[in-house]
Amino acid sequence: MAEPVATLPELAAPRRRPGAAPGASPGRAGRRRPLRRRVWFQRLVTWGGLLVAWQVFASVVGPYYFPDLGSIAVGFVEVVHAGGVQLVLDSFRQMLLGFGLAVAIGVPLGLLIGSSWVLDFLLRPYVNVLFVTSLSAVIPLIILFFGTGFQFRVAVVFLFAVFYVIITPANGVRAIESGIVDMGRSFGAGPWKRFVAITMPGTMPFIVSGMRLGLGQAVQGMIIAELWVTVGSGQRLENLSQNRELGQFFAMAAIIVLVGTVLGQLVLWVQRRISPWAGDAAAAIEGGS
Amino acid sequence: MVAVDPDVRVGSRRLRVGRRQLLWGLRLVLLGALLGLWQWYGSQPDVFTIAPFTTVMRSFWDGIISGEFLGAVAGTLASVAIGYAIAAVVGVGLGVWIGVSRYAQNTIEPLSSALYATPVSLFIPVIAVVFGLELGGRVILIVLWCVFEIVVTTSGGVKEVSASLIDVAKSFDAPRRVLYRKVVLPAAMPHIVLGLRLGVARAMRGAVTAELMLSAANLGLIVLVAGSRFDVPRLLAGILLTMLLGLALMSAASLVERRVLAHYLVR
Repeated sequence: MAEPVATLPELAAPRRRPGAAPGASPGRAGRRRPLRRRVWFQRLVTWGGLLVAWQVFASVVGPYYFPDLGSIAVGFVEVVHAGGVQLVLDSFRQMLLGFGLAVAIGVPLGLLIGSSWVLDFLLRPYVNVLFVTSLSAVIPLIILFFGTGFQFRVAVVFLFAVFYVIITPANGVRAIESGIVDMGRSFGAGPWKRFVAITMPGTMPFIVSGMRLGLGQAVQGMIIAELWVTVGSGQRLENLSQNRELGQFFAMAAIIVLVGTVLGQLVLWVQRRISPWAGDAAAAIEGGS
Repeated sequence: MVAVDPDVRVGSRRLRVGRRQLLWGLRLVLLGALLGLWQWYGSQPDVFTIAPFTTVMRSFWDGIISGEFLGAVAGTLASVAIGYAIAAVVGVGLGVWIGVSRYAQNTIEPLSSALYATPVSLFIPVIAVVFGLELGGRVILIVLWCVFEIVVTTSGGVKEVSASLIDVAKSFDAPRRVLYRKVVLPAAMPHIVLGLRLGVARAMRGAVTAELMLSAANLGLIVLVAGSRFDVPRLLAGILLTMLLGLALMSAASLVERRVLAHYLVR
């Protein structure tokens, strides 16, 4: 992985004293830094500026086109009172079924594809083609198959998530050093033992990364499916935007994003618990593909 | 990132040709089996959700010679091109800025990562209301769909530019402009191009989603109308067309990537 060298911004910074160590402790450096170089000050000014710009923009175009911050805050209270949180949680609960199916089928398939050159050669084209396909176009077909009810939403979520859950673990198996596998073999570990002791732990960060990517896609699929057939949170979003209750709309969207983020962090937390040696999964991915 | 043909690695040199032919044979057999299964399942009298492969092909051919499919592809590509061009300029610009500036890392990067993690489809209803259902709304949706991928990948690449390269340039008194143009950008190029390639797939996805969910247009129109009329052959043909277009775009993007990075991969 990357060595702890000085990053580009530090070196490109114009007024850097040549003797100063690039990795100097941020706390001490922070105290000596002028106000305009401090993180909290920069954030305060920039984000404050953006909020002001938001407010100005909203008041120029009017609440019919863009909500101001006050109406979003009011909208938040209204949405919560109208049972918005419960609606979002219900949507996510249904989404998790489709996502769970995708993980249950996708991860073993991905490990299989990753472990065998022959299977990879045979199946990879199909996975790749479906991976680049705009899955929204398949939704009318899914409706023909499953109708517009619960099964439809599960199927859409499954389809959106499954390819990420296949491809990332498959790349993970590839990323395991062949020397380790060879060593296992020469110490007499059979295929099953090698799978349990080398492949599984070695690909765990990739599996989790795939799950996180897949989760993002699953949420995307959940929203598209619910907007398509107007049920659940999607229906609420649709109604709010059509009645031009944009403050409530943004509040509702924020709740969905928040729940999605919490779920993603949960996956990450679980990964840190079960494979603490692996570090951040995102870092593992960068070296992988 | 260097593609290695899998079967080149397996087996001894003498076995390679035979093995390769065997694998390709298996691949064709599998493809044939899948198409056969499709044909058989589609021609069952009580199956209405899938049409036989040959019927779908005929519908596909009808769409091609009537010019509808090509027109739809052209329309979709046009909105992809506009949205993607905007996203590429904004995304690479923002990404490089985040990569080189502490200030942007402190303030802009958290925002762009947050938006990167946000499902864009959430904003479809509000885009419809604010930007309209036609080209404007579509382009906005495409931009949102792909721009953050480009920002994140680009900024990651720029941040990884080796410090010693910059040291050398500085010790030769390179002015800032030269430093960026001759050192930083070339060194970050593989990441930038990767981000742009991933962005193509996302732009395509955004375009199709927009054409389905804002107002039906181009490829989305074909699929939607066929679906609502229960015209299964045409629906499948439309999905096939979307697939092929995505595949063609991705292949083109990979080709461009290899061309641009040709001298990075020479070892």
